[in-house]
Amino acid sequence: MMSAGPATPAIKHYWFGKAYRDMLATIRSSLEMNFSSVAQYWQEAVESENPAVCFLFVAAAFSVLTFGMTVWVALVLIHVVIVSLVALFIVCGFLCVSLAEKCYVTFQGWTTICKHCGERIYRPEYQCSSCSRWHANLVPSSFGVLRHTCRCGQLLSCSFIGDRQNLRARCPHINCQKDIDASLDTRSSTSVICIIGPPSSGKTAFMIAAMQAISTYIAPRFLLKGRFSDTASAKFFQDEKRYITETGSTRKTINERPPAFNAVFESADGKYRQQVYFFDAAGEIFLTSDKLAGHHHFKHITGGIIIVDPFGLPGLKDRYSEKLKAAGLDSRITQEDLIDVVERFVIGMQRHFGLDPSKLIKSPYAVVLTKTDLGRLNQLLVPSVLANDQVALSNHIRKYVEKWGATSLTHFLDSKFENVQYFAASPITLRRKGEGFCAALKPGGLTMPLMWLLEKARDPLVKQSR
Amino acid sequence: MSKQSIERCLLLFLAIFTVWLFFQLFVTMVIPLYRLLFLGVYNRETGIVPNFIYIASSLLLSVIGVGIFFGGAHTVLNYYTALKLNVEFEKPE
Repeated sequence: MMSAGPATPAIKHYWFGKAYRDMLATIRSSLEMNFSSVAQYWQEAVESENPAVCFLFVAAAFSVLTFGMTVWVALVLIHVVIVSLVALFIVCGFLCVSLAEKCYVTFQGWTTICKHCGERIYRPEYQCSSCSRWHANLVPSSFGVLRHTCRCGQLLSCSFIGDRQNLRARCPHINCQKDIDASLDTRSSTSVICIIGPPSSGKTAFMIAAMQAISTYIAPRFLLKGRFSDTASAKFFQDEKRYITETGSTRKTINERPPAFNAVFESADGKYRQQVYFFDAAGEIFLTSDKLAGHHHFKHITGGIIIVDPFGLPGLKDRYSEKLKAAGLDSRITQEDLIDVVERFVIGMQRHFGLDPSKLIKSPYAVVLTKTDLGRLNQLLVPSVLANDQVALSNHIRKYVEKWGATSLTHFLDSKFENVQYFAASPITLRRKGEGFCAALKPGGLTMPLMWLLEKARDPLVKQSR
Repeated sequence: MSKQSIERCLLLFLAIFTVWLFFQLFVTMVIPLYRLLFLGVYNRETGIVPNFIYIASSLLLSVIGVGIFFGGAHTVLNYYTALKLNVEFEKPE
């Protein structure tokens, strides 16, 4: 729900309101003055004793009444035409600037999504730098083509041409209204990638490694440099990365709000900016689909990653359960059936985020088998002969998934998703360390699924090189 | 220059025109008509009737022209005064 708020605290362009009121008042007033002149001349003619003077005033009264009124009609028409033409000229001006702005934003692929409430922002609210009033419609309009005048007199740029992005801005949604970074959020495109998987499937580790992969392998290919756009993301990334390398596992995601990374990748000249919102939906969210309602980022998903813990599949569970138990890794294997989680995700999307049940999900979803460093699964799933053939490799991995008893999963994915491909990667490599474990991040293996995902989503991050 | 001054100037112009108009009427219409009716002088070359129509239409056009000028100038003056009174751009608080 957008902020209702008071009317825009800007002074409306003279030619769109007051000019017409002034024009009507002028017409009325000038007509009264004309009649007053006629009456005055007539009065002087009546009072005059000299016939010549009397004739002069009668002629004057007659002249104003007949010829004067004809000229008055012409003046009124000229006034109306001038006011209308000026207004029309300004309308053309702001429509042109507005259209140019929309075309430019579309061409650049810029989208603004509030990082607090997750809602798409079409028109942020900007604060006047002088009086702190909030302007909800700071766009080319009847309030100004290039600049609006605040009620305090401050001129505020209202288009992409000026410096509007340097003003303090906030989300216009009434339940949020939190500050956004206009210079970044309104001038960059955003990719929202969700990671779906049951609890203990390794989503958080995957997310850490994926972010590392984008920063280290993908962004440099396109001459982009990455940074986290908020301190919370940077802190979470560093803390989690340290925890993973020290313990070989991640901290349990207990918060209902999914931990997320908001990173920005930009070119050296700062002209090209791409935000990547990577979020790890806590496994528990999908257990109760009602909890999904508050997570608006699901609305803007551009792609997703479905994490498959191969040791949770029936075929491998039976074969490796004893060995994993002996190695102390059984608690790290997911117990939840992935098909239930994906089903809940789809139902949640349909129920809360307007997904049409009769249509396939068009966004690309990469199904990634993780933990392939265990049991030498990597050699099995990614044979060197198929390493360069992505489609063949996907079919090969899919066959194994089905072989290990997840035929229902692959069929379900086929029935709900239009664009699915299978990958195998191990974001972390476990090593024994005393009684416990340590781990090394292996982000390189994630480059293939991430590049496929970004390319399929026509993400500007990978579009730049084309 | 105040509105009253301009109005007086216009009135003076109208008075001068009226005097000129009467003079023209006297010279071009009254005197030839008097000479025709009482002295029997008749201009054979042009003919009295077409001459009168020409003069009368010229004078009528002059009257209309001056009327438009006087009335129009008066109206323009009134309109300008009304514009000055009523048009005001909205100012910041």
